Amino acid sequence: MLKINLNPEKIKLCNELAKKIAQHTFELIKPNTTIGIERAILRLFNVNGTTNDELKIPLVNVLTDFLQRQDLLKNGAANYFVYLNQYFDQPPEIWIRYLAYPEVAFPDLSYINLNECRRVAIRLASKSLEEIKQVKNKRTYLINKFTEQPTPWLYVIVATGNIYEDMEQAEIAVRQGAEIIAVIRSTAQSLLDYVPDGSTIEGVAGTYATQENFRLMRNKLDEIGTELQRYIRLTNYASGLCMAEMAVLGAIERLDMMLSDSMYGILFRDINMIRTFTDQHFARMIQAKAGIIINTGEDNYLTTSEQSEEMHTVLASQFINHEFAILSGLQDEQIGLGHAFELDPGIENGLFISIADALLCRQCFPNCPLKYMPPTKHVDGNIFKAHLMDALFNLTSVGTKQHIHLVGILSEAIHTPFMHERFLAIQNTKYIFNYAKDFFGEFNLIDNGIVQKRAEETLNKTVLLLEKIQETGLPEFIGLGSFAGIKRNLTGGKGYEGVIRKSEFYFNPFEELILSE
Amino acid sequence: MSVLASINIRPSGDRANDGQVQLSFTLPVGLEMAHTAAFEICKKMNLFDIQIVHIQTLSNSNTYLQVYAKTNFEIKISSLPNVQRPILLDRDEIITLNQYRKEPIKIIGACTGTDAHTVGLDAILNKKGYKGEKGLESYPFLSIINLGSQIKNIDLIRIVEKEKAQVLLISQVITHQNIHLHNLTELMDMLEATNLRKSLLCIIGGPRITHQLALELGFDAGFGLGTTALNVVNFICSYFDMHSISNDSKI
Repeated sequence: MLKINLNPEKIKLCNELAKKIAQHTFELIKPNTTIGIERAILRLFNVNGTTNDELKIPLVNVLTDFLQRQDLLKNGAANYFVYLNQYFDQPPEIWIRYLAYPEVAFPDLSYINLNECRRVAIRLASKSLEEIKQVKNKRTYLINKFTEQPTPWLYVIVATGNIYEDMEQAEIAVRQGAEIIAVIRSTAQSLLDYVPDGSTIEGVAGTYATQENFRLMRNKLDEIGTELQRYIRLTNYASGLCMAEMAVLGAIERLDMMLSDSMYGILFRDINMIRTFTDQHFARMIQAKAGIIINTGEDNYLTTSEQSEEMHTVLASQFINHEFAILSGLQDEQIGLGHAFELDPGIENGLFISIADALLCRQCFPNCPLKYMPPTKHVDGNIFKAHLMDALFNLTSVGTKQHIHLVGILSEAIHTPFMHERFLAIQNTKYIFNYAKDFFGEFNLIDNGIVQKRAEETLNKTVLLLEKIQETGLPEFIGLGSFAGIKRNLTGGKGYEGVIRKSEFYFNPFEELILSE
Repeated sequence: MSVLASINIRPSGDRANDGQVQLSFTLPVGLEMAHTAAFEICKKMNLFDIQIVHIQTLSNSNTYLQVYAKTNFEIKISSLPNVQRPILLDRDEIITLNQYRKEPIKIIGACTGTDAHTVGLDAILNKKGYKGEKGLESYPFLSIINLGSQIKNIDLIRIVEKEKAQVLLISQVITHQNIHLHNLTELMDMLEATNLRKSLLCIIGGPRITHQLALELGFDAGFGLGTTALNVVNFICSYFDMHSISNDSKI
């Protein structure tokens, strides 16, 4: 069996350090809520729709912006929602639209008795959580009804920029063997401070993530899955400024996986640090309840740094992401930690270094469904070489028992894949997964071999790095530019204006309910 | 003109100029029809000796084919558009040549618009560079500001003005539905409108960028696949050397 001799004390130490790091950061975010979280709460209360004008502003934004202007969001949107709902005695889709008209008289909200609203808010919230549980149960039912596919699961991307064409591409991919369909959303949607509405047929390098698009794709995959007697998992993003709202929509529309990283937005999208840490905590809480598997984004580090030198930053980040996830109530089975096969193909014996890196992640997180990403950084447009690199990636993946396998496609770095390129990629993957099925079980590693040495060295470096982060504090450490070479500070970045310090009256019924369990 | 320039060339497979090409494509029809349809399409492309070597159903209405065929098309080397290929000085030579430069050349790099892919930009700018070729930051006579990704054109213009940049390096990876063309055209218009263009060397790079395209869009140079920092440094230096003779104010 492929097994590295690792000192269990060192892994334990990494876990302990990561726990302290996450706790320290948690203290920093605890006094805050964000406008995104408050909108997510309203979405959980089933507030849908947009304004009727051409701006089509989501009603959850209308209400939270209204409260924010009066400096009331610090008390939480839930109470005011309950109060105004009773005051108007009309569906929220109607009375929230009134907010656009200055002539409609609004009650003075500064003196209302918040305590009276709490009871109703709690009742609404438990109903909402019950609905999420129903969705989760439906998933479990469907998975049990069909046979579960062996891992690694084939994760395939569709990104036509049009949801209806995405559905067609997804169908073809599923029929060819894809087990997970990830719908790529429009580039830079993460920077929108609202969730677009309705089905969409435009976008750059993908179309928008909207509730309607989630629903359309879910139905399509259920339909094909029923025909093929397989449960097809659906993935989209819970990242960016609407991280929490996306998690809610994913929970309602039965997404099975969501890209949900505690630091990706900070590092790669320059979203404010406090905003991201605060948002991710609530988003992951909802995902935990919904049984959604999160995918973290450590693979991205390796697109800017070299894997040969920086693998320990990936592992350190996985330990931290894992602790953040646990703080939100996620189980190991839901924590899809990310990493990648990005080693420079020119390195001698690179295959064994790649095997060492993948195996190290596997052994550090034995119960987590690891997400393994294909080569991109050193893919240079030579489709035949890319196909070959993908083959070695496939071999490493099946050989080290990875779980969520993003299928590498030969036209990486050229264009969004053609139909037949995806076919060739899936064929490549299935060929190797079958041909080398028991690779993991058939070999033993030699002592002091390349794999053993590389893994030990990476683990040692990870311990040192985590010690340093723990001493410095995570936010300060990110400030030094030590992850992916990118520097961020506490108040910089996008979305900081949406961070709100909670008042002593602050109330989030979902947090209360989930934490009291 | 060299002897080579008068030669006609064709794609070559087994033998020089035998016209052999390989194609692969999908047709939106079922398997039965695809074979005949592919044959006819290849004929319309003026191909002959057509061999459909592989045919595969992708779905009820899509079929994938791999084809080998021959073409009679040929091209005279002398008729090729003249592509400037600057002589590549190596890193040490360039540093030596520039050691007496009084002020460093100020360079601003960014991925503009919605593009979040900094891989290319970082490969060219970062000290560490890419594939053993050190990036622009490693050259002592260059001063680099790497703005990273998703920089709006309007913000970029402001920074160029504030920093008095001499070189602007734009990386565009996302080219889906030609978004990069709109973005780059907008940037050029804004540079012209703000009068910054004439004192600025404007370069674009990215996997789908060509020098020809860059010139068409009004930029000074474009760098595509396979570019290393050394290519870019060579271009920048030769530009400033030329202009130091004709226009001292540029340095």
